[in-house]
Amino acid sequence: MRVTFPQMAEVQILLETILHELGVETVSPPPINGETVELGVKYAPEFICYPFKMNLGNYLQALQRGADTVLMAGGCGPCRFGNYAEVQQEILRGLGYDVKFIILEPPRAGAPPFWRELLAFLGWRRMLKLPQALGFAWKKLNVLEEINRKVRWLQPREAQVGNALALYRRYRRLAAEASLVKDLALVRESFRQELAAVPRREGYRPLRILLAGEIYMVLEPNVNFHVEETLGRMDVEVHRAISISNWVKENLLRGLNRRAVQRQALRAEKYLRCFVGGHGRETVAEAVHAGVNGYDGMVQIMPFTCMPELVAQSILPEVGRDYRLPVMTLILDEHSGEAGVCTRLEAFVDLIRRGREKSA
Amino acid sequence: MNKQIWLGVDVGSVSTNLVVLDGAGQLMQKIYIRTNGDPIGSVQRALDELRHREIETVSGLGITGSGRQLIAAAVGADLVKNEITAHAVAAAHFYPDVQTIMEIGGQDSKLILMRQGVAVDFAMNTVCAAGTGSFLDQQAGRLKLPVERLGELALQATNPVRIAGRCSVFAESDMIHKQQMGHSLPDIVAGLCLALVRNFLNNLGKGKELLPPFVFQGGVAANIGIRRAFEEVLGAEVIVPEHYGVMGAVGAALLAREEMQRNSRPTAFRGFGLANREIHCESLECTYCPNHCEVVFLQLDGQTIAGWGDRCGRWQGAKKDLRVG
Repeated sequence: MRVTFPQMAEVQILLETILHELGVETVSPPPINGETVELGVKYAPEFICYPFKMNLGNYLQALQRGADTVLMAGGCGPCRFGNYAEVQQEILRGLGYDVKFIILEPPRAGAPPFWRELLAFLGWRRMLKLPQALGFAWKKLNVLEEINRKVRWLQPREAQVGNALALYRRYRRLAAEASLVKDLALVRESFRQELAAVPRREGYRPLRILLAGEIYMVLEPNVNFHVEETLGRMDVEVHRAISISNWVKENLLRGLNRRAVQRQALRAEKYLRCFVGGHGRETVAEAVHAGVNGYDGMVQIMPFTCMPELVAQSILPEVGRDYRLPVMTLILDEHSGEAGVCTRLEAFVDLIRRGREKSA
Repeated sequence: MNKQIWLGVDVGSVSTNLVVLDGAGQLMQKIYIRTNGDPIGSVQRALDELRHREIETVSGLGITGSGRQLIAAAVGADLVKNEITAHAVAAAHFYPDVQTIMEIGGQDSKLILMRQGVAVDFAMNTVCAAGTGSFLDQQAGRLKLPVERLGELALQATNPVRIAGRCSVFAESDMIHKQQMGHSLPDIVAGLCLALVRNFLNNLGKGKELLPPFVFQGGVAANIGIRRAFEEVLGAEVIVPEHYGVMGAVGAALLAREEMQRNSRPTAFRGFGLANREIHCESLECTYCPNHCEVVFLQLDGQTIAGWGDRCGRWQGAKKDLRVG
C-alpha cells in the first residue's frame, strides 16, 4: 500500500509524519505546479471548484509516481467538498487507474463510519500506535504554524528585506524533518532565538489585514499566488484564523470546541443566522472580528463557483460599512493571472494606506 | 526657478501613453501610441517622439499599466503603481469632489469609488472582457466602421434595440440577428452601448453605492454613445475629462511627483537616449525545483539589468552580467 493525499499547505508534512510513524509507505504529490493544473483541469468537470481540480491533478501526479491509495477527507453539508472524493474516485477509475480511496468522513456525520474506515485502513496493530503518532504530528503542526505566524509578523517589520522569508523556508524544512519530540523542541527554540535577533525597523506600525474565505484557497500558497508573502512584501502584517489545526479542532474535535464554534456563530448572528456550508458563516464572522478589532482591511479568497463564499461575499459590504472596514474579494481559478491578482492586492493596500494618510 | 518636468507612462494592452506634466501638474504634452504587442518598442517610439519636442531635464518618471514592471526596469522609473491608484489620483487631481470613476480601457474595466478625494472601494472585471475597448474595436471592424464613428452613430438612434450584453460572443450573435431582422444600424449600435453599460454596472457596481459626480475615463470614453448610455442608466451627468485617454499616465506622473517630493533623490530615468539603445528580453523555465518558475531577464545593450518571475529570488539578485540558458 502506497498512500497519497492532496497537497494543501502543511497537510503533506502532517500526513507524512503520521503515516511514517505508523510504518505506512507514502508517495507525496509534487508541490502544485503547471502540470498539476493542466492534469486537474483536463479531467475534472469544468465548473467544479478549483480545489477539486488541484486534488485530481495531485492524485494523477502521485499515481504516475507509484501511489495506489488515496487518503482524503469527506464532508457533509451544502458544499461540494462532500462530493469530492466520490467523484474523484469515479474519474480516476474511468481513466483506468486501480486506485483505492480511504475517505474519512468527519465524525459529525456519525462517529462509527469514521472509526470503522480508519480501522479497516490501518489494522489493529497500527491503530494502537495511532495516538502517539497523532500527538507527535499535532506538536509538529503547532510548530509549523507558529513559524508561519511569527514570520508574517516579522516580514513587514524587518530592516532588510528577505531575512524573514529565508528564516521561514529554513525552519519549515527543519521542522518538517524533525523526527523526535526532542528535536522539534530544539527547532522551535532556535527559531525563536533567530527570529528575535533579526534587525527590525523601530516603531514601524504596519497595516494589519485579515485573510479569510474558502480554506483551501486561503491556505495553499501555490494556488493563491502566495498571497501572504505578496502582502508581506507590501509591508502588510497578515493575520488569519483559518489554519489546518483550526480545521481539525472544528471538524474532528468538535466536542472539545463547542465554545469556539458557538462564538463564531454569534459573531455572524447579526448578518447571517444559519449555516450556509463550507466557511461561509465563518467568513462573515471573521469580518465582524476584523471590524471590532480595528483591522485595516480584510481580503476574502474563494474559488470560482464557491457557493458558501458567494453568500458571504454578498453580505460583506454591509459588514464593511458598519465597521468602516475595507473588504476585497479575490475569486481565483485556473484562469486567474498573477498580474491581475497583484494589481488588485496592490491597489487595495494603496487604498487603505492613502486613506490612513489622509485621515492622519 | 528650476522648472520641473514630470513624465508619466501607462503601458496598456492596447495603447501606450506618455504624458509630460509641469511642476503644477498641468499637462504639457501627450503621446498616444498603439502597443501592438510590443511594449518596449512602443515606449521607445514614444520617448523618441518626445526627444524632438524640446523637453528640459526630467525631475521624475512614474509608470503604470499592465506592462509596468517590464518597462520600469527598462527605462528606470522612480515610481511603479497599479492602474487603479493611478486613475483615482488623476481623476481627483482634475475633479477633487469626484465620487465615482468609471474607467474602460482596452481589455479591462474598473469602477473606483471615491470619498473626500480618497479611493474607498474598487472593482475590476474578473472573468469576462465583454464591454471593453477590444470588443468595440472588433465590432466596429465587423461593421466596417472606424471605431471612432461608433459613438456618433449611436446618437442617431431613434429606438435602441436590446442586445444581450453579458458575453461578447453572444452579443455579437445577437447583433447579427438584429441586423438580419432589419433593425437600423444606429439602433443596433445604441443598443450595444446600453448593453455594455448595463454589463459594466451589473458586474462591477453590484452592491456598491454609486454617487455623483461621475467621471468616465479610459480610451472608450471617446465613444459618446457609451457616455450617453451611462447618463441614461445612472440618471445623472457623466463628466469625460479633457485628457480622458491618458489619465492613467497623468496619475503615474502625479504619483512620481508626490514620491520624489517626499524623499528627494535624483531620478532613475535613463534618459531619452533609450530610444536608440537595444533593449531585449530572454526567458527560461527554471529547473532548480519543482515550481518550474518562468524567469524573464531584461538586457540593455547586451547587459542583463534585471530578472524576475522566480519565487525564490535566485535570479532576482543576479543583476550583473548573467549568463542565460
